[in-house]
Amino acid sequence: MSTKPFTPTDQQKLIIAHGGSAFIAACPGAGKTRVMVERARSSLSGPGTGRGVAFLSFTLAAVSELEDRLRREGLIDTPPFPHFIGTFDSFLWQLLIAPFGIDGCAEKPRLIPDKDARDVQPYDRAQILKLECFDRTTGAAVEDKLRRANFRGSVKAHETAARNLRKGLLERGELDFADAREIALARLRDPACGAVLAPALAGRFQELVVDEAQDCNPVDLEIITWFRNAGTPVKVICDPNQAIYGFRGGVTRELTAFAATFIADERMPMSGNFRSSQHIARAVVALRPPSQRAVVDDALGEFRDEPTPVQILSYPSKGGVPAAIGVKFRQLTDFMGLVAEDCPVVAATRRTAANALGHPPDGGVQDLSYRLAVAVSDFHFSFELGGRKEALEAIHRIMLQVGGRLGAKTYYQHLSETGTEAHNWRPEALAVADALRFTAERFGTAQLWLDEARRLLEPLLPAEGGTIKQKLRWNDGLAAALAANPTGGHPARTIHSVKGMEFPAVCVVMTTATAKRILDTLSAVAAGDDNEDARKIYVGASRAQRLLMIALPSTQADRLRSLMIGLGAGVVVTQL
Amino acid sequence: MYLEKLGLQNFRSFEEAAIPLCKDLTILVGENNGGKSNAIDAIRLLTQPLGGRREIYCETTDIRFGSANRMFELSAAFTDLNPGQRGRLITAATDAAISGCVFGVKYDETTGRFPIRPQLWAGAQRGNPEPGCHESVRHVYLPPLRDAKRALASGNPTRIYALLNHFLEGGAPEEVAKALRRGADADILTKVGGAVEIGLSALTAGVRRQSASLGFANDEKLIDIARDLRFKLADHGIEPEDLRYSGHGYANLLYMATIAVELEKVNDADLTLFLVEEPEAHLHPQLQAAVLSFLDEQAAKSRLPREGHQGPTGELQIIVATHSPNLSAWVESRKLVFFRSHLPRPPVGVDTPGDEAPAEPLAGVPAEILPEIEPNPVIAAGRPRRVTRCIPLAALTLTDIERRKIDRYLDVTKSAFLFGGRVLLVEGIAEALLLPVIAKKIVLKDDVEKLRLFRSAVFVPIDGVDFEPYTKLLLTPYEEVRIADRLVVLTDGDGGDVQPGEETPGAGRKRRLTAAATALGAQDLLDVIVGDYSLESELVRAGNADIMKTAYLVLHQNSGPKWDTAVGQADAAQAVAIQKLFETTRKGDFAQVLADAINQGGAFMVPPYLKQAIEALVV
Repeated sequence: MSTKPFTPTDQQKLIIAHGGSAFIAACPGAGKTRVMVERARSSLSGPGTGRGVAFLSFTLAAVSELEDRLRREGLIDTPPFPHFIGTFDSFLWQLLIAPFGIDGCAEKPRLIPDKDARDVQPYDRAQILKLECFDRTTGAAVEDKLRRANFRGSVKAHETAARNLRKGLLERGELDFADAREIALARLRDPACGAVLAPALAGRFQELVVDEAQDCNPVDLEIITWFRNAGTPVKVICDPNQAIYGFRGGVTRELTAFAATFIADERMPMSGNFRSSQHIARAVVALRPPSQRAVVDDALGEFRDEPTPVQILSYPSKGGVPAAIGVKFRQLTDFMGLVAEDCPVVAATRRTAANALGHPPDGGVQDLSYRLAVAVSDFHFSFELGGRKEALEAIHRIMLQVGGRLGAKTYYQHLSETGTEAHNWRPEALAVADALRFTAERFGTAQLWLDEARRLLEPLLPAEGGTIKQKLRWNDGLAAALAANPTGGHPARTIHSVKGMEFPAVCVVMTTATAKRILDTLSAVAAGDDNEDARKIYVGASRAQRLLMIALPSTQADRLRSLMIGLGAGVVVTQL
Repeated sequence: MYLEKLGLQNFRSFEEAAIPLCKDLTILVGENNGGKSNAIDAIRLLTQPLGGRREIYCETTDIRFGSANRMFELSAAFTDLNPGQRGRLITAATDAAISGCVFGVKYDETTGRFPIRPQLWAGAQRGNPEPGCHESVRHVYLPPLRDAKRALASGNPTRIYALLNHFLEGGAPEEVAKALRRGADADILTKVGGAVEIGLSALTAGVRRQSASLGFANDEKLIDIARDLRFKLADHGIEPEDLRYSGHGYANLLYMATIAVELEKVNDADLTLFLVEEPEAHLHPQLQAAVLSFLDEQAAKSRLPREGHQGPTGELQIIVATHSPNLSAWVESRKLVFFRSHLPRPPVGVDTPGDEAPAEPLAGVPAEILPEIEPNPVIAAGRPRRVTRCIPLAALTLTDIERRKIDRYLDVTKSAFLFGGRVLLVEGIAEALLLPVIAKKIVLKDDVEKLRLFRSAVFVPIDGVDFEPYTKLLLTPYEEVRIADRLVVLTDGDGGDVQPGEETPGAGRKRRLTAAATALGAQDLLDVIVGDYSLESELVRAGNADIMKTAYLVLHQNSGPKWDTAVGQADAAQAVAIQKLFETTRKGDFAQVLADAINQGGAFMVPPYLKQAIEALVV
């Protein structure tokens, strides 16, 4: 993010000048955004063909960062038309679903992202299962998910109900992203439609840029391939080791196969790390599976000469994640003169990270009062706009639930059916978030906070729908939830929530449950190298600029140390 | 691509209408208050102005006058998209094949929200268009240029000046400024004063010749347009250099310069709709055709593919609203859309039209805008109201031969019947000159109301007897509306050489015209009046030999005996002889002398068939 004049590396120069399709594997901190901006500058300047460029990514945060940069550089206008900048899903929705509707369905298609959260209950008093427990195509129950939902007995009735529910939702034009992708792909595959769309989209876009392509699932990759075959050069930019959206169906194996469809000259690496110190850059290579270590990243950025070695914290294998991790991390960041709030402790789950900081556990409670406390805290302690928006949405959802407005519908179904737009509810949700901001001066205790929350939300209650005390119960975890982000400390974050970001210092926490398998994968002991837990650690660790601390059970600490040293990183191991 | 169909619902004078438009040029013709400007404004509301500065917005007064339904909706359907346009306008696609795209604007006061925001929708699903794609289609509005000063104030005066300079090959700027200032003084728009002076001062003092021509030299495209425009004027026998000496010469040139400057910008859009309203308000007749054929050519040119270019195509489509017969005469009939105000029959099932407004007609309308509606109270549903109806001449079922005839015959005089209503078709100029005088002085002299109707009628001498194509054009219904309300054909029997018992040529024409009208369901609207012989013979037979002889002698001083001989004969022989007499006389001149005589109160007997024709026209 420096304001220095940009001097591209040789690898970057090749990519900026490359006109055709390319598969670009970028290491963390490789300056992808900068390179995309420069590529756009090069392709849009000069006597062009008048066509636009489609920039696609998978998270709103990545999209808005790129859009900002392109706009500041004067490469696109507002609106960006004829260019397209958005998430992959919004691209499909806007250009391939919304204008054409769903074949055989008269209803206008509506996007219901949380469709899978719909309740399936074949008869009264039957156990409620979520729609996600049933296969999208066959409607058969998914064993694994039934087990997690503690379901016992015959699932036949549920399966029938789930099939009918899915059919009914489709007839009403209610689609989630997975439906949308499938319908979009079907449209592209259809010979008649494809014959129209191929020249139309090739006529509009001179290039299709897909960032964060490691998050593509097989359907996404097939869509990208379609564009490539239709004559639009595609630039696929990814770090295969950062694929942590397994729940979206992203699969690294497919991505590897996809990469193989590009000829050697079209496979272009970016291995210069402009973010981290040399120690961290090398240590991060060690966190990739052995097959992915052929190219060793080089630190090239302003922190390349940072002397602080990578810190491995070895904690006792028995007794869970100790709070001493947070204390040790604090000592080091203080020593380096870093601000604790800027340096998160990250883990696969928020709970692990919170444990490492000595924050009380949340126990996975579903009480509305507890969720409200978490949402309000999240709102006030999020790093970026995206997190605050999500927290506001959670507050709004709770307000609707207190008001008994959702019924059997999912949150997004409700929004869609009532035509509710963000600007309709955000002011109210913001007011609640502000009024319930927890500080010791305003509310001496969690009980006082709850009283205020009840007073505030009571007017939302439906005419005959119980009392506010029933809706917002006392919960023992409330105090902890409200204090979960004490000012002046390290924030506890999930790895997913820090994707794409960078921090001066990061502490990554592995649990006893996952550490051994992760190290097995990294040491090539385990068969295959498709381990999402390992990739999460890689994502978390690669956020760090100057200080990287990795906390893991003592049984695995040495294995990790030798891996990192083997790749030239300076490492210090500390026993707790 | 081009705008194929404009849809209007409950908008100003329109109830529900779909106006088809042609690819390059469409001319909207019709009477005043026919709704032409409303159609033009609908396009202005549906598309963005090319210059980016919007001049009109949806307003409550755009809702059909007196309508209880407090909303209106407009839509523009485009077709003939190239692949790049399909890609850019995909969110407005009309079908899976993207064979077209559609944008709509809905203005609805019944949602209860205030202020009322017109909602833009796109495509078959009526969804949200992708931001920015709507601007692929732009419009340029050329209002009747009544004020040259004002036109200068908008746009870029330096460029316009440079263009004028090019036209005039170096006219003095002071002279241009002076001419324009004089033109504008007469106007009420002196109010605009201050703001306008800025534009004008750029022309007088601020601009130096060198800088102007420098700006021009850098601008290859603008100079190309200027060159084309110049050639076009030369084709029509107009020299721009001569124009400056005529009354409105500079303003005419300025108008064209404005067009050229706008044309230069069209490449930024996929389609630019050039909306030209009443070009006759300022351009002289000769220039009207020259300018429009120039625009038409530019439109055709804009559709030529550009090698290797896949961005906005810069296509052009021209839509002109006019009451000038010059323009309608100048294009083929397929490109004409006829506009008229129509009073529909009350719908079946509605008994007596009540004066009571329906209960709560304004439900949902925000209180803030009620004061604006009040001056136009809601009219009860049963009460008949005038609506604008359009007849695209291309949609009328005419055979190819008939259409070719119409296109050939439609000249400046004849295309007057496109202004509709009551139409009288006559064979030649003599009838057209005499009938108004006869009606005014004799037949309708005591009936003011009927005389008024008669005066509003259109007289068209067709220079022959081939009435059939016109009759079909005027009487063919299109969605229950016809161009003519009433059609009277006045023709000669030409019975001179016909054997007794045989059908005269005139009777034959009547039979065929009546059959044609019956086939169109318009037998009640048509009267074919046939004389026995020719006009002049009939006038003599009615007992006007004396007054006619005087008129005849004005033209042929020494032919008294010749006249007497012809008139002296009887019946058919007389008719033939008189007809022969007029073979060497200019009928128009004769009719004019005779009309003067009647005007001055000379004794004149109206032949019964002429009286019948006059009366039939004002029924």
